[in-house]
Amino acid sequence: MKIANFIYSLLIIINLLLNNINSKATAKIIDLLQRMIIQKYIGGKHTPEKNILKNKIAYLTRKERKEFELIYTQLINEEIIIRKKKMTKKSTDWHISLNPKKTKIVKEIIDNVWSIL
Amino acid sequence: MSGAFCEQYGNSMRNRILENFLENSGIDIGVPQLADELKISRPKAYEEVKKLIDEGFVLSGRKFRGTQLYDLNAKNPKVTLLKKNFRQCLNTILNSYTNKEDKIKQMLKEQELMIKELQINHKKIVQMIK
Repeated sequence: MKIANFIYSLLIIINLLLNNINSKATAKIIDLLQRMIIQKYIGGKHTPEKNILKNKIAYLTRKERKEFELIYTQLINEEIIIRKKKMTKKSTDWHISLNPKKTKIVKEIIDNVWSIL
Repeated sequence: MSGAFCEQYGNSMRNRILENFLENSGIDIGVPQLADELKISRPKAYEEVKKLIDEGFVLSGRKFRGTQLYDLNAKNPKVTLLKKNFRQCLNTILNSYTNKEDKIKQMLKEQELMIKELQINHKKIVQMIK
């Protein structure tokens, strides 16, 4: 069952990415994943969502932004990115981190997209 | 914010900017965005980017709503080497986390075996006492 789930979630996301392979949304999603890995936002270490997304969406058109949001929500639904509400000093913020149990899927996604690009 | 790439090559302003360009490889980025992400001033970011352009690492590309965007120079052999190293960095980080998971699974299996052995020994001791 675990292997089936792994392949299923991998196929969904790679399909989404390959459908929009020429668009900048795909590349921005890969950048987002790469940034989270290189800064080691995996597991317990998390970061405010708006801080990361603000600059990623900056130079995208409206259509590309929609594509980006579609793939991003898919990543959250598949629990590759963990999204949680965290208490700050005065209010609450949405924080994100990579799921350490699904690092294999992340590696597969990055490798597959890199090989095509 | 410096990442794993800067940990290997030194945490200088130049390396941090290069790391950001490598993260965004294939996509052009603007200097305001760069300065915002790295939490440095815009004049300093412009200065460093200008140095990188002179060295041939970075090229100026299209303009988006008045802001000039920059991208890595893919034709430069040094850039291809840096890209390779960056990908190796990513792989090592991901591998370390997958290894951790495997180790935890092994530990859990060993603990289960230990508990079973202890239970068997306990039963034997109880029988001996009887």
